[in-house]
Amino acid sequence: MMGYKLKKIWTDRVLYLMLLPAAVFFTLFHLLPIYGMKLAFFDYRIIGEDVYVGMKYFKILFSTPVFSTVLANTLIISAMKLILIFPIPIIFALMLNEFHNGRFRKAIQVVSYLPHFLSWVVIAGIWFEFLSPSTGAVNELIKLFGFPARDFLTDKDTIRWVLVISEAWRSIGWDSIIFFAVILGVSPSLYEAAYADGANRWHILTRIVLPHLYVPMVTIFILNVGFIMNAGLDQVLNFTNVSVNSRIDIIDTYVYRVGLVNGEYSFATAANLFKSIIGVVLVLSTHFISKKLTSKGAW
Amino acid sequence: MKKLWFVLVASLLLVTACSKSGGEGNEGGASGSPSASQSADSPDNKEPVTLKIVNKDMPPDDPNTIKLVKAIEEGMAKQGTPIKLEIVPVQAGTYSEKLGLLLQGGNIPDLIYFQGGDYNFAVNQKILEDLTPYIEKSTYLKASLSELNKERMKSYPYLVWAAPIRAQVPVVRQDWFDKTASGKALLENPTVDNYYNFFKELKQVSGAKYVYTVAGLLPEIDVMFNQAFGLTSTWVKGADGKYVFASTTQAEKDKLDFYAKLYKEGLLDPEFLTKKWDTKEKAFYDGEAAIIAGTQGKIIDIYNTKTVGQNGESAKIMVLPPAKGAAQGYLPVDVSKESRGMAIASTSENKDQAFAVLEYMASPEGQMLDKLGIQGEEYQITNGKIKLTDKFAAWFPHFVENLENFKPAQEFDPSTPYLSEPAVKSMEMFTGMSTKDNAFVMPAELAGKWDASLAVYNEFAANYVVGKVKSEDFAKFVESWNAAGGKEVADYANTVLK
Amino acid sequence: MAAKGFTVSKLILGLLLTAITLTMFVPIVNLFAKALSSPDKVYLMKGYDLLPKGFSLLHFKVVLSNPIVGKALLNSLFITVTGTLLSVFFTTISAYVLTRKNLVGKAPLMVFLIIFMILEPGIVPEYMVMKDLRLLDSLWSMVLYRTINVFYLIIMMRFMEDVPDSLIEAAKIDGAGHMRVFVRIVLPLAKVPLLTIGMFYAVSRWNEFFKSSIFLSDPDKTVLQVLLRQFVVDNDSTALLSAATLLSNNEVAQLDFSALKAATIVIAMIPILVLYPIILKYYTSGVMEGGIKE
Repeated sequence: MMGYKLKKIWTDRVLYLMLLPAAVFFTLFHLLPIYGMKLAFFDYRIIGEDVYVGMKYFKILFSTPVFSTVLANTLIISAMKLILIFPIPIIFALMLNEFHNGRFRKAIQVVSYLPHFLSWVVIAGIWFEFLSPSTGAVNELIKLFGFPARDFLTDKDTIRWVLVISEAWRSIGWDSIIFFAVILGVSPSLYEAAYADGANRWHILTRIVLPHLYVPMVTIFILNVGFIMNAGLDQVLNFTNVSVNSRIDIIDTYVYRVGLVNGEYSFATAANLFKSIIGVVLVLSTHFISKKLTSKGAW
Repeated sequence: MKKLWFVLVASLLLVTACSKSGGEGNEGGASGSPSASQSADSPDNKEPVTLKIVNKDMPPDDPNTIKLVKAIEEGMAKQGTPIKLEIVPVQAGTYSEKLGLLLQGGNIPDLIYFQGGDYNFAVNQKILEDLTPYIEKSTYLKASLSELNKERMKSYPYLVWAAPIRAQVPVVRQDWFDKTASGKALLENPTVDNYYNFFKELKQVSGAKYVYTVAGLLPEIDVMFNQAFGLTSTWVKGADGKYVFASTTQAEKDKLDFYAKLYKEGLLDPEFLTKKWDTKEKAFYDGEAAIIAGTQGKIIDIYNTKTVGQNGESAKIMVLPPAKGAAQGYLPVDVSKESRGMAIASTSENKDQAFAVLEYMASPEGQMLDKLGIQGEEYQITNGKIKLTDKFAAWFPHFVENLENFKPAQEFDPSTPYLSEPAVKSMEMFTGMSTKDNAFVMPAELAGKWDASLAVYNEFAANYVVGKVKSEDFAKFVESWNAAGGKEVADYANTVLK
Repeated sequence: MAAKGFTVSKLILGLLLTAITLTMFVPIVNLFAKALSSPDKVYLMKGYDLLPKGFSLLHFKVVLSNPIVGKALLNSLFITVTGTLLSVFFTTISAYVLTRKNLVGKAPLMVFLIIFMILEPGIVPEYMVMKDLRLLDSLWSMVLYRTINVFYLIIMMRFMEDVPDSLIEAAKIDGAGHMRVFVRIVLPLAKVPLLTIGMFYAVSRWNEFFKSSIFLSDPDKTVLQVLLRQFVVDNDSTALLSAATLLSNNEVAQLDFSALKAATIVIAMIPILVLYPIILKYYTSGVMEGGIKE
């Protein structure tokens, strides 16, 4: 048995050789940094050898009051995005499907996919203008209705909503593609049969279209749960400011600030290791749950 | 399950293999570089020593930087200490962060310019040289330090900064000030009430959108009012004789109430939270804001030049006194340490040469170069007088900004003084009306808590002024300040302060 | 399932869709209009204006005349183009190998790849590795970093699985090796998925700013997104206009910063807009077929 395998490896040696560059990239830019996470158990020294300190930094981490805030922020923001944004692309796709006018549909699609391709820096730039209390379109509208202008970006009560809504704004069109594709894929004969049986549009929606959407809905929802520890580093970095930071400081921004800005390398690595391990466990378990429910997983 | 196990074992093997090779590569690199410096030890060898320097305000491509470096190298070669300055490029926009990375990564230049930021790690990890013995032995640098500079170096001898304390003073346009009737009363007796009346009239007569603006944070308006409300130092004695953080006291609340009133009445910029230094200055030049605060000396000089350039000679600026009340003075000066300045790396192999650069820049020749630029370009000497050219506007000192020991051989032509009259005035007024603070160097284990508690304060103060939190929330703020680590810091303060 | 003809509910749906789309259309067009307005009229621009007030290219001229912006643009292009080519090539070749039948060790290799791809080492260890590899302040750090994305690899593998085995076997019988089969037969067949993942890679590389801001601290190596962030988000105008210019040049100081910002954002968006038609064509069809969430 073993001999057969070795022989097969030898005959396929060219294949393995073709895989070699990928292996090198993978080793250098994934495995080496992962090995570097051992820093969480060491005192980092600029000069000389790092000193092993065991769980010291994890103990500090769990006794730092700020860390629990940061963890809570991460989970709250992720959960808000997960629950509130999730149905929107589905509804968007269903709405879009009502229109058979090619030009109208195309126009909506072309514009609504665009934000997905813009970086968070650009999006932040657009939204700063959009929400500006003095010149922004949103506040112009608010003033038109006789309400005072509001600075949503420096308001602790609104900033998380700004994150959720800007995320929805960015992904609504793009994320609807998958659902739209499924809806388009539903065989027309099913509709015809249903209409012939006297079904109305509500019946069609609930009995034909939604069951088709079940698999992608469950898969995507569960997979998003897997990434709940990532509340959006790029987004928060670009939207934050002093007056709201305590509401939207997430693990990633905390690691960045403590680690890179204040130079607490070991501490930051410990925080990150904690986050990563939970993340991997979540992704793997959601993958298996999804596989079980829908026979489709993350890969 | 079996598969997973195989994967884990395989990954472990791979990781160990990689780490070994990674480690070796590292050592090879570390021993490679500093061979060029060995020759420096023998005195008869006049090969220039290469010194690495990192400085936010010296971008390597900038023509002024190139000129400055060349002049330093030539000047020092003439004096018998030939050096070569090699600039380590670091992005200016996020300098303090990038500098942290550079140092943490073990890439430590000989001369390091620090600007604000938290560099506890640099001291903890002993990469900065204690500069006291060098300064003791020096002639010029010692003479260029002010009393406050020296006091700061006593408890924190790693940074030397021969520059005026970076303290801000509030300024207003002269023409607008002259238009007000309440201005005179204000100068005679600058109480908080008189300031309030002055603000109201100023807004009316000037047509400005609002009176005072700050770049995001309140200390820029605190320069005017803190002491008047009794906030005379970071730590103040409570009724029980124990020190408490001044910003958690009733005096702070009174002050914030006053700011909230200014904000509500449109006297304080409604968008001050999102202002940055450049938009703040622009608002002043454009006449949107009537009062801003700027660092005494050179910065006030720049404000003056630019507002006169944009609005005419009558718009020259005048410095306003701090408000009078429980006490009077600009923001108390933190004498615990320099927050910016030049440091020498303890890992440097050429510490003496590195210090020689600092000493050279403080010498008469060096100061002329640092402050005025190159003769024939930034300034000319005609009829025995120093005349500054147009190019001088883009030149600023990088090493010695203090005027303590600046004695050019010639006088300045009266048409181009080194500092404008408002700038000189700002320095005089600051010196006349500054007090020392009792802040102390925060020990490393408390630094995080101190930062966290300050963040609580900053957020609360900002929200209080704009009216998002109410008067009754003050007690809650004090609680959360304590919870965020303020309590430990306050306990520690009571052990340090006498 | 659409209702025939015109109904009230359809009107409401149409208005709703239009409103959502307008929240995207208006702010983006408004930025263009603002950037193209004349400097003295910018203050008249309202947030919903779609046409410039006056017309001037001055804002673009000021931004583009700064050598740093030009350099950043070139750096971004270099990283995007080189990085995307490398990524596409190595992703495709790996996908080919990993979809060969009976490849010994394939299953554990995949699990291993996926677990370690998900495990995020975080910025500190990554920085240390870049330092040890001597890649800091080199554009190659951003080119080589994350060359292969495991999710795009999987998209590619799904495609490869559909390539008929008979084609490959036939070529093998003719004496072609794996490399030859890959280049001559598989690559030409894979045009659509190649373009699809190429777009994925290109967009994410063009938009990357966090890692670039950490790995590249030499101002000469700055990329456009980092510069943009400093100017637009941190409000640091020295990022765009050097401190000396700001100190000495009153004219520049009098320009409208918000219009300059708009111009900078527009410049960063242009490559995306140029590629957008291609993106729409391949990217969306790729997703429609693959059913993969990014």
